[in-house]
Amino acid sequence: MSASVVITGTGIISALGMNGAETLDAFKHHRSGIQPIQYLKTRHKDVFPCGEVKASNDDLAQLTGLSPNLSRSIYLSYHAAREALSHLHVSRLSGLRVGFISASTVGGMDRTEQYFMSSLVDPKSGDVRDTRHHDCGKPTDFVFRQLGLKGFVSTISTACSSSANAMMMASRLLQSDRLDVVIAGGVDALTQFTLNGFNTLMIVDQKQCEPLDRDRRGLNLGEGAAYVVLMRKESAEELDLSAICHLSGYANTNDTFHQTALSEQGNGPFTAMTNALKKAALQPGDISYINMHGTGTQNNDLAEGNAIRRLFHPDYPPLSSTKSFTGHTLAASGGIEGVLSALAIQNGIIYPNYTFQEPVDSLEIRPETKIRTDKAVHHVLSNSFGFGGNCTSLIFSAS
Amino acid sequence: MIRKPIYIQGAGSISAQKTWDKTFLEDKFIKHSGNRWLCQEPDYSEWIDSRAIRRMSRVLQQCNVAAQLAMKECHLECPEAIIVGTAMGCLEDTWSFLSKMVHHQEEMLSPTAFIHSTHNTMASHLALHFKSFGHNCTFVHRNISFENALTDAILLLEEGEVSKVLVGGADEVTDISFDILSQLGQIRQVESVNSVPIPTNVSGWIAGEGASFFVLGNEQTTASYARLTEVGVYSGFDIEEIKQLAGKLLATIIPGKTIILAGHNGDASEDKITDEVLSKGNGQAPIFKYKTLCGEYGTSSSFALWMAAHMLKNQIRPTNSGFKLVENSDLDTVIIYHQTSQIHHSFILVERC
Repeated sequence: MSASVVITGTGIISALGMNGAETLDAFKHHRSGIQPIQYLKTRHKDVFPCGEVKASNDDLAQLTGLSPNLSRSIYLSYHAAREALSHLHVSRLSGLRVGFISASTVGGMDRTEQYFMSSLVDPKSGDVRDTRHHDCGKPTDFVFRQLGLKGFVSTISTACSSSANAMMMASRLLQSDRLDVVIAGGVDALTQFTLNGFNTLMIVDQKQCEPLDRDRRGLNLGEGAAYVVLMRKESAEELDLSAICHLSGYANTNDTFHQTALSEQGNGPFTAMTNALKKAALQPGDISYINMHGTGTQNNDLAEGNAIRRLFHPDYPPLSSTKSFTGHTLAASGGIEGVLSALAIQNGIIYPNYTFQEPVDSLEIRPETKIRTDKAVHHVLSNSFGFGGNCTSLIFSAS
Repeated sequence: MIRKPIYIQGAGSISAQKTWDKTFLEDKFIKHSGNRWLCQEPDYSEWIDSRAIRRMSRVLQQCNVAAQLAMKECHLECPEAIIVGTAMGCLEDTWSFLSKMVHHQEEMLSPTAFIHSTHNTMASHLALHFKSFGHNCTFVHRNISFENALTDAILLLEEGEVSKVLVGGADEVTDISFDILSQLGQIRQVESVNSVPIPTNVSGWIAGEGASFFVLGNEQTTASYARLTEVGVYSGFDIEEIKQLAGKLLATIIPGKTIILAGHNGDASEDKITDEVLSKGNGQAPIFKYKTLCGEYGTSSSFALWMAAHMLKNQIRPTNSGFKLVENSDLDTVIIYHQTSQIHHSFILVERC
């Protein structure tokens, strides 16, 4: 039996709010963060509603105390990581092997876009130093140093499953006794690059998205960051920290079907969920709630729905897609939904879909439509599936 | 502290040297001119379906063939896990989509470049190519991306759920990225003519690229190259702390039986740090500056690991012109040390098996 890995802290910033409390408040009042674009400069401003963090870069600089003109990902990442660590001052980490594992698909692409746009107008006008923010590791390194950490740092990029893999990697490094404490999760800021990229695939909804609905039209993009603080149970006891929950299961698989689509029967998702249950030594019937990947695209919801049917039929646990509140935050989504899963266990909450009318014809799956607080939440299954067939499922369990 | 024996069972590389057909090991080293060294490439159509090639960027083709080379050596058809490290990802497709987006003011864009621009394109392409349903991950942390990928592979093999892992490092240099790096002053401004070894004590480095892949497994076979015994990555420490950590590692050197492949990149200020850290080895082992062969790129340590594997198996050592046999077959250990920008320092230890 491998060591039990617990979560002692969480941090989250998304369209729903600047921290965990604001996020839960949004769910309690059934308030979606998906709104017309306010901050991103794009010609699609009035076309696609998005889940933007409700703050400009200047606001974020002020909020975090960081210098202006950093990439948006840095602000989001630092803000959420700091909240995750707020229960544990960095000075208490001395003598421990600490790691920071973040996830990103765009890095500081917003700054690279600025450079490309200005140098297009006048080759001499762009500031090439903007591109120093470009790579995915840059925000991670910046936050790592800003938090005063040294030791192990890494960035994972597996499209929309990135931060789920960051948490999984963290857990494995803890179980193998290579690290004592890991801050793991991910970040992605909304950029022109991603909005236009997803638009070329014609999977972006021009209205509020409706995941799992028969008439779903696509996804809404979002942005944000979220991190959890993970450690072995004994370390938490030694540090006198209480566990919010533990990360009991995980699995990473590849669907091996297509670069941008899942197989209709959801082979990768099915194996990821099955293996995560096995890792946690749980049966499907033990799951209290499934936080689905549920992007709202035709392909994802059908494939994921089929995989869930294969595994859970006929006794489905309550399930929903919180992306109908946050938008799809790409590399951050596994982190955001991981934090939501931890908060679900801590507060006995099951999140709803923002809207739901009719189930997909071939599926019986009906998401919750109202927040539920009527039952204890013991085990949450959180799915994160991405382009390139990257599928990761995590299981969070009450301690 | 690798807790189970892990062997390099297959190795494939495409680099600025002729690694793909291994004439690199026999002939004189290829001397490049200029400050951007491109890969010596095979005819990819012999390896990849011609319709597929058209949709693949250079780095994707390099990954594909380097992975095929590694797998062929150990007769592996489908790896149980695929892990890739890439510092910068699929740059050609990223710049392509970004440029078009800016030029066409966010209109009339096609999805192809976007689809191939994501960092996980390489690992997922390999999963599709080899029909590998298992663990699939991509690490993108600057000059330790490949080391992170190795760490993931080591964990998998220690956990015992798989017995063979395909792991590699890949990065490409493109026109736009070379231009940006030049403008940032990172690329050497003076022309380096036929430069092995690279002249040192100037500012800036030479841009390189490449893809090197390995099959790692728990079993030692007659085909195994070497045993991977340590991957140590230290981030965020000051130079004195790094020297202490390096000192512990380098203390294991047995004189006469160890060679260090060091990541000097020719930039005077970077190399000063590299020298300082390696000085903790007290000159007990000869140092070869491997980037004089492949140029500087984030995952260049994967090229060094390919070299180390062949040095140990064939008992050869690099000189300034080519490889020579090691006297008395005395080479037991190769230590790879890679650092850039002084934030991340990595050591990879490989031993004869």
